Amino acid sequence: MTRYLASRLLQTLILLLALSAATYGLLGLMPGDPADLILGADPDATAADIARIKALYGIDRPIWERYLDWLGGALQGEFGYSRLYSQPVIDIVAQRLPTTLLLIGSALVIALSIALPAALRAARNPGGTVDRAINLVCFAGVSVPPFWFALLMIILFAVILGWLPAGGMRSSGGDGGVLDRLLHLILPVATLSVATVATYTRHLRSAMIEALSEDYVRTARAKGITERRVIWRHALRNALLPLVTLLGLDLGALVSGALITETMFGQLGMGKTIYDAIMGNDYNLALIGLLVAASATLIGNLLADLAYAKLDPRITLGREPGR
Amino acid sequence: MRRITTLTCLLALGLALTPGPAGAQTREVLTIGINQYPANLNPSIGSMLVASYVMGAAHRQITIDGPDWKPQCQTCTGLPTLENGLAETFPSTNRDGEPSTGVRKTYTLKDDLFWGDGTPVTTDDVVFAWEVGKHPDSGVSTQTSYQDVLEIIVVDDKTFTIVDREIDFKYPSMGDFQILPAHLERPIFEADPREYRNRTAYQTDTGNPGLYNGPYVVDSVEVGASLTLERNPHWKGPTPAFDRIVVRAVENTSALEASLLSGSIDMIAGEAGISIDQAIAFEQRNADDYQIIFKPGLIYEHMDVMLDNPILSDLRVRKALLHAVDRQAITDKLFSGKQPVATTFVNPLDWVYTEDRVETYPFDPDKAIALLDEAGWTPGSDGIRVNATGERLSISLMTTAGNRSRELVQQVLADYWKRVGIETRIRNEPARVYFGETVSKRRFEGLAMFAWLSAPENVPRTTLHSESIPSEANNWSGQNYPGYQNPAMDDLIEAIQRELDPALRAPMWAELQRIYAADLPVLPLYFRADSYILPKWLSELTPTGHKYATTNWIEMWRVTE
Repeated sequence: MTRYLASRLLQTLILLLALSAATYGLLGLMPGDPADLILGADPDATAADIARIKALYGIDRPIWERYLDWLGGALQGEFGYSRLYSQPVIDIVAQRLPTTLLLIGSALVIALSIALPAALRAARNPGGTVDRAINLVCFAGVSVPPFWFALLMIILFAVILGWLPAGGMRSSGGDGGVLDRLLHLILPVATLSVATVATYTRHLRSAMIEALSEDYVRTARAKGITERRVIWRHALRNALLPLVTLLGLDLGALVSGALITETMFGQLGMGKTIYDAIMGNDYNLALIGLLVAASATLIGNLLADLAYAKLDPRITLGREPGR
Repeated sequence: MRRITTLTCLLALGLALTPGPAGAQTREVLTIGINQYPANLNPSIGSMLVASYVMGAAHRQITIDGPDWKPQCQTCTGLPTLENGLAETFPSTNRDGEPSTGVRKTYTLKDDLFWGDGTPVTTDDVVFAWEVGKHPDSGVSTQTSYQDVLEIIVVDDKTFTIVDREIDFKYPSMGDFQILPAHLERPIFEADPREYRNRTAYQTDTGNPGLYNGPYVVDSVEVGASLTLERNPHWKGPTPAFDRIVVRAVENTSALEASLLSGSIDMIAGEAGISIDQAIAFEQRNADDYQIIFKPGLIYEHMDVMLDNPILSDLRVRKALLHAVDRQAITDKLFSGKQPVATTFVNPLDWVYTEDRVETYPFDPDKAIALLDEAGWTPGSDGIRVNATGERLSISLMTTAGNRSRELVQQVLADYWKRVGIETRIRNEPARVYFGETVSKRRFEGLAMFAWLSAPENVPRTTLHSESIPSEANNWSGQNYPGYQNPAMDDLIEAIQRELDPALRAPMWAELQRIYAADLPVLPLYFRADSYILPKWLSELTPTGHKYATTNWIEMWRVTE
């Protein structure tokens, strides 16, 4: 297992290195550069101004040279300054990452705690009234565009009822404490949860229906094991595999954030930060944001693989099949 | 589906009937909503409109354009002029080494002006700001106004003389020359000028009151979300009406509107708020609960014409394009007439504006057809005109993708032009591609729709002078994107800048507008209006219509029940 883990971590590092080079190159290929953006809106900019700004930001040098500079700094823990925020990029990520983790983490937990019982209930009687109702709600959850749903929530709960704040992370002009922060989280978390609940429920329901029709479940029932035990100990264990795959992939989303929800509710998370950095030609910030997201996805996949082995004894890690 | 529709209708009805934010905020605090968070608050480095908006309340520069569009002192006691003896000319040389006339002008800072930590604002702050402004590595984007200052002669703590390389008619003003707190910023700048833009205290110690000399100081920031400003205890000007100003950034304009309706914010800034069509819809629903002010200003929406394109190089085609379109109907129907039709880039509110013998191109499809016939474009089998060689009269029209107002106008223009046999190829691009490459490097083929933000009596050197045509040779600087070259226009631009007497400048401006309207290097559309949505109880906020934000006079804002 240790060897397997070490090998996977090494692969991850190599992949991240390749990703950093590819991402840096792609960012460099994008039209416009920081000088264009800084000076584009200024009719008084002269040729000398443009040349000076390009030299100041180092964008007058070849991209590979800039990348090697960046890599040298990164290996020493120096990831540079953000052009947009004039702050070390690490500081910005440190400010934004917790918001996203809290926002998406809460949404994931809520989604799982609703999806799991809903899927189990639906799978027990496929085609029944409850199953059809759950399916309908899931279809609605997947189909509703998040920005529209977010707006609807704001209009209903903030404007008409006035129960919850329309946006932001805390109330104006002061620290309202934990309760205030929680109140500001309700609408964005609810918006994010809707689509996630629907997706997880649909996947888990299908997997459960399939698992419940397997021979080993029939055998377990024939042995007189209680239905509760059949579902929780036998069927669910196998049905969880596709959900684990989804969760592994969602770990990347946990870090890269939810752009639309963050924008609509004024939550300062990674999604908005990465988007703004890309659009604002903030190479350092975009790069580190994307790499953090990529690392989370890779780690999520690794954890998913470990979970497979735990859930399904037929899966062994680090060995060729048949040996 | 029906249930969803009913719910949506109920919500829309609820939105329409929702009362304003009465009682939601105390009057000690004014919460302002803006649509973007300012990146860098250093007044010399931050070039964003939203940064100027926030710093308008906390930072005062030497001179500014007033709400009457005339230059006025902000921290000085009087503008220097040749007439009052505070300015004098001297023989000088221009940047190219040719003989020219320079100017020495003397300013005195107000006695009762202090940074928020009680340190007086002095000439040392002016000299330091100049050192930063002209330093090649400081990160100041355009340095012309600093580099053209040859010397600053310090007379005493409050009085200094600026020695300018060349005199122009705007000489009494200091333009965008900013004052910086030398007692806090000099050590940071001198430690490493190259890193100054990142390490300036405006970024690293934003809540330090000593950075601000206006009626408010920035007390705290939540980067990306909001800034809280408190009264500057050392401000000696008129007492502001609010103890605290909170500026909250909500980037999605629908959410910004909802924040206003829910009482999370008190007002939406006109300078960086919601779009005009959104404001018009808001007015229809909420006019009883809010003051809604539409202020047309110096943002000039237009279409740059690629004059290298053989079709568009024909003046008759350019004239036909304008005659074919009812611009007044566009502004009436799409913008409730709030955005006045432009005849040239000069705003009717500017004193140099004239209508005297300036061609205006009213809606006249027959005339458009006649002009196209004369230019050799005759109707083809599908209604689109063709020339003798069979080439179709097909013109590309580009703008920023996702800009709802512009895309709407674009559709209407295409429809008008189709009626006279012109085919429009719409090809929009995201703003960063459009402005970063296509427009700035003259890669558009036909028409490029966008806007310029100018200043009162703004000489169009960078947009109309032949030396301002961007090319690889000049590192793509200049904004004469159409590639317009007219020696008469070049001469006028030079002459206007040199002419100090307004009475003599006025006829030159009139001639410039006549040439512009006759040559049509750019097709004028309309002047954009800013939409201010204010609570009923707020008064004395006067939109300027130019680049200096209303917050520059925030101490005059009052609460009236």
